[in-house]
Amino acid sequence: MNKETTITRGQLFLLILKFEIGVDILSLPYRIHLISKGGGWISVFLGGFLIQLVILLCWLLMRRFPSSSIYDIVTLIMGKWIGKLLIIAYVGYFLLMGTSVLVNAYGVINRWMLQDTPRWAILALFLFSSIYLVRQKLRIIARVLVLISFLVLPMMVLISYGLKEVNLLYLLPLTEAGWPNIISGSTETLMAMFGFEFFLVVFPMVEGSSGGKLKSVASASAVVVLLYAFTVFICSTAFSPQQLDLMPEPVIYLLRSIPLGTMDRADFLFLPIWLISIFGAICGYYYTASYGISYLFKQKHHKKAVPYVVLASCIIAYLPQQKEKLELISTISNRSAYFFLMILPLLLLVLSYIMKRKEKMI
Amino acid sequence: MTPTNQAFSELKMNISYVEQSLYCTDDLKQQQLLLNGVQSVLLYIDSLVDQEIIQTHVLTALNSQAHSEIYPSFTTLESRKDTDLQRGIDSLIQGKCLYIIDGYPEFYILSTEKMYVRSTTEPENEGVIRGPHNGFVEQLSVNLNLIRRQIISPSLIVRYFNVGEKTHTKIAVVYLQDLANPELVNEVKERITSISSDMVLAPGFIEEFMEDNPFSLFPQQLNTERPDRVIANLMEGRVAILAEGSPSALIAPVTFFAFYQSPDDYHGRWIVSSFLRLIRMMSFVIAFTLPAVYIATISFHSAILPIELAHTIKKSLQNIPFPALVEAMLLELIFEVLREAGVRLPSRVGQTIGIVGGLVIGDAIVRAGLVSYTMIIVVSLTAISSFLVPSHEMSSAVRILRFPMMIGAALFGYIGIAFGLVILTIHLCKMENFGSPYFAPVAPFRLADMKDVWIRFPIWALRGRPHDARPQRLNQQKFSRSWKKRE
Repeated sequence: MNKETTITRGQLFLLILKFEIGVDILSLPYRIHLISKGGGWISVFLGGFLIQLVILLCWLLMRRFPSSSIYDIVTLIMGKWIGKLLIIAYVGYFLLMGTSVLVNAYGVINRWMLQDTPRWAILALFLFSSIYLVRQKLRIIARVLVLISFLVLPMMVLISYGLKEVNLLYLLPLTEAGWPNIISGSTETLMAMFGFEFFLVVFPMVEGSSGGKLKSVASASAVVVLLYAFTVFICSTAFSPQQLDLMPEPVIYLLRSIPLGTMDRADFLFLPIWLISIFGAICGYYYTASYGISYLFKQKHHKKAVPYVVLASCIIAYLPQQKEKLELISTISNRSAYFFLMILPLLLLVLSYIMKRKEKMI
Repeated sequence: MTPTNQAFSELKMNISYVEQSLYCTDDLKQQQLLLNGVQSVLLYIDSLVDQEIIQTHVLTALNSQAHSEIYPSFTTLESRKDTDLQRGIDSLIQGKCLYIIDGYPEFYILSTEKMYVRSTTEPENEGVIRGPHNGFVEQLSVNLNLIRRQIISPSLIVRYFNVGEKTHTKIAVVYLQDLANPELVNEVKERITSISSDMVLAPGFIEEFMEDNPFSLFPQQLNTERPDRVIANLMEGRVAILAEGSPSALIAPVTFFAFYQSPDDYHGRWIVSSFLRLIRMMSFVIAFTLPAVYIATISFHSAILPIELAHTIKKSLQNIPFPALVEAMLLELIFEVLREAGVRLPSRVGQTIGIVGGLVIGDAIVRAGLVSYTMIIVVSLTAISSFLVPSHEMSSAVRILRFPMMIGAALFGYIGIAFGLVILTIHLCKMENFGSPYFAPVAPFRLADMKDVWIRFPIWALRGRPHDARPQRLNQQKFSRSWKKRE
């Protein structure tokens, strides 16, 4: 393996952390509240547990092929032609995931900060900066994303300002929605935590043993669960349940209502930070997609595929004009995630056991 | 390669060959001598040699040996025999003189160069309060002497190179054999030898010929006139490049943060130095974001300001006909013009700039209703912050950076600034020089190297060298305060 393209385990940890905290941090408390009411934070922990299982499943598959990415694995197990189709499907999935994050990010900017700025202008901003970043070597992308991942800290500091407003009584009764709802609420968390799939592609490029890599990914997810639970907890205690029913993005409302000394609107500070963080997540998806394309065309470097991937994603994000159609993109991508991250890896794992396909340990 | 040419045994032919090679330049002088009945001649270029050396070390030496054997000996620093006339001519134009004897196909090359040496003074653009007050001069040998005198170690290596087809600029690469990474040293040597140009003016030329990212705004080699700074960097395993005729050394590879470390930091107490360095880092951010933030706040997000402040600013903006961006651009450009004029003007008329800039522009422009008072505050704060950088190149880079930031802010508000910062970060992370990451130790992130970046830890805590130059040994000191344990 070329040394230029490897990243360390610490970098992997921060990258996964960064990818999992996505757009949904803004709306998660609301969506969970709709389903599981005061027990939202329990749903988050349940979802986190489920995510760990999914990660474990993917890892079991990846472990059998230590020097191959998911693209290699599908070709190895499914054969050349089905493999190619599956690679295309995975590329499409990553592209769609990136696009859905992009669409949501645009929606938030449009609602909260720049109402009159045309959509193409904001997409162009994303377009140019993500082409600039994703074209670099993986190592450099990782360096930038590690810096971006530190932005989680100020985000959390700002959110924790909400502690001043906490009223624990809003949580009670905990199981108001009933256990079935709390459990089904955990799927919302599951969706909010997609992003770890980055490791399906970069797994062979990370230094260290496969057990160590699992540790990085799993602990990153665990940290994200804690942060999510914290956010959900603060939002559902700072706002009364009736208020929360009306707030699709409670985190922003939360920041908006707290005066921060010399600053009247802390959300103006929070949103750019959040946006950069989202930008990092989008670039992660673009990287995996362009890596897949370059793998498909047997190119040495993923550089050439990047402009096409980014452009395609921006065009998809530009086309639909109504709100419903925009939401459709994220629905499709979230639904397909179940297939690509759970069903297919499980299938591949079972097949690899049956066919006794396994990479020889070196 | 210059063609070789054996000397003739006849004196006249030798002289005419030399004369023709130098196109009979008028400052080529000949001194005819007759020793023991044998004709001989001393050839030199008048404008390059030291008359006194010729007088005391060549002519008197020759006269005192008038009746001894035919091969004289000289008391100049260097004298050697040669038979290649072309080489003789090459040394002639370096300031040496040739002594040719009739009937012998051999001649002497005697070193008689004249040096005009400026005394070492404190460099004007890198002054310090405490610490040594000497700086490099235009003479390479003096500069090397300044370095050698402070690193008294056999592992300090100097390698000479001649670059420039016509100028033959002498370049010295200095490094510590047991510290600097051999790959790095080879890379530097390779890049220097691959320079093929008629003229090499140091250090700007060398820098541009050697750097990895020629299209970047940021300087990638540290340019310093201070021997102590060079020495400190050599001790971190870096390579210094000095050139004849230039009072500054280039240091490679350096990181972004090297430009924010001043030699002063290491002469003061560490808490004070850390505070000053933090201020400097803050000024870096202010210098290119403050106008952008102001523009974005005024034109997009004025809701972020507390009501009272928003009123005051709105009031001051009432009579201004331009959008904030135009206002800021106007003032920034005026400031840049003033600054450039201040550098070019002779110091005797320099005061005028102060009056024109301060009184006329500062006050009158507001009264004329072109620019608001708040904008004057913002621009002057930015201007002052951009001067806090100890390195001139870096401060210029930062000054240019703020124009795209301002445009981004005017188009997209805070989002524009955020993306501007992201692109800047990507650029900084992407850059590598001589195989070392430019933005180290922030990207790649190394907590252990942070000791000398944002704040300066006490010297005794700086046990390791920074990792970015990939030195051969990372450890630079053991625990120096072991006496403390006795208590």
